[in-house]
Amino acid sequence: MTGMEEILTISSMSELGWSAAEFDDIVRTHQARIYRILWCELRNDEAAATLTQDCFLKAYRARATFRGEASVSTWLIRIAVNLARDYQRNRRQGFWRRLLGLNAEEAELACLQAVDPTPAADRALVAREQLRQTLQAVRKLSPQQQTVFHLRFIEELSIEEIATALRVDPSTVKSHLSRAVHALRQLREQQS
Amino acid sequence: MNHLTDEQLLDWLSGAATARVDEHLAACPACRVAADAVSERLSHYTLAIRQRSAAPKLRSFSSYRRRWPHRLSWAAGSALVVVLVAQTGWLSWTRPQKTSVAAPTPTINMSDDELLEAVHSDLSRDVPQALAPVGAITEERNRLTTASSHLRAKSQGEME
Repeated sequence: MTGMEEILTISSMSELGWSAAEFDDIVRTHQARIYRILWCELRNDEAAATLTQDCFLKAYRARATFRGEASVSTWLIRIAVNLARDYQRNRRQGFWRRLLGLNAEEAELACLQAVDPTPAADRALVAREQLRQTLQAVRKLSPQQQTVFHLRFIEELSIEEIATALRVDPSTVKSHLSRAVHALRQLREQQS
Repeated sequence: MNHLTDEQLLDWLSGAATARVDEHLAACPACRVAADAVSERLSHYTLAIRQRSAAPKLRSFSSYRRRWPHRLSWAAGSALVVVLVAQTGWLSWTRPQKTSVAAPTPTINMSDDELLEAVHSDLSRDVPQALAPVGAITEERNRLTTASSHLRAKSQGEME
């Protein structure tokens, strides 16, 4: 579906009021992306799945307020990012993390090691080390910078789309991305 | 031209680099190596994240939307239980207070002297007060046994 087609579909849906069946189509179209965004934010399968459902429920209940000024995708991303932030702000989550002594970086790397795409063993080791460094570098960014980084490079959203979804200025998005690129560049310089 | 800035590298990574940046990258090995390294890291990271975060088979929206009435009924049920528990607690809190005021136990009003006297009289009894009915029955049974034995002895004497 092109952007224009999507906007037209959205407009007609807004006029009619989304039915559950129409909303099912929206969910089918966007659920993989929303799950991925939430997973990037939380690094937790269960939480990402739960919040994906919550995101669509929240969107469905607020469907009357959707005016079609942004695309459905941007609107859903905004809801998802806010849900993820609320989740991360939840003190109980922090309490349990501290109680269990979970190291976020170790858990994250363990998650990603299972999907090492490189075939050769020696190359795999190098790639794994590079991935570990990249994860650490991304982790050191601020939460907002991480979100922007993921939306740009994982979801391939444009700077304007990210700005709309996060309700920030495009120059802020660019600044966050530059900071992320600088961090990756530093890794290479440290290595050499 | 100096080496590429972070912003220029970002543009190049986004496929929005100017011709000047492309020319610089073609002419500057240091920037080329740095740009390729960042690009490689990014693509590896992106691939790993995308593979790892491939969405599981989530239920259709209609199915979990239907769960909301259940969630609401659970919420209403929980609220009802809380109200009932609170009401029961309140009643059990208030009732004993009323009964204790209405019917105070006699021992509370008994003076020390009266209590000592009661204990003394209880100790001086042959049979404790609590066993008094049993004592009366035993006494009656002994009296009847004695009377019957007297009658038996009398009748035996008459026969002889």
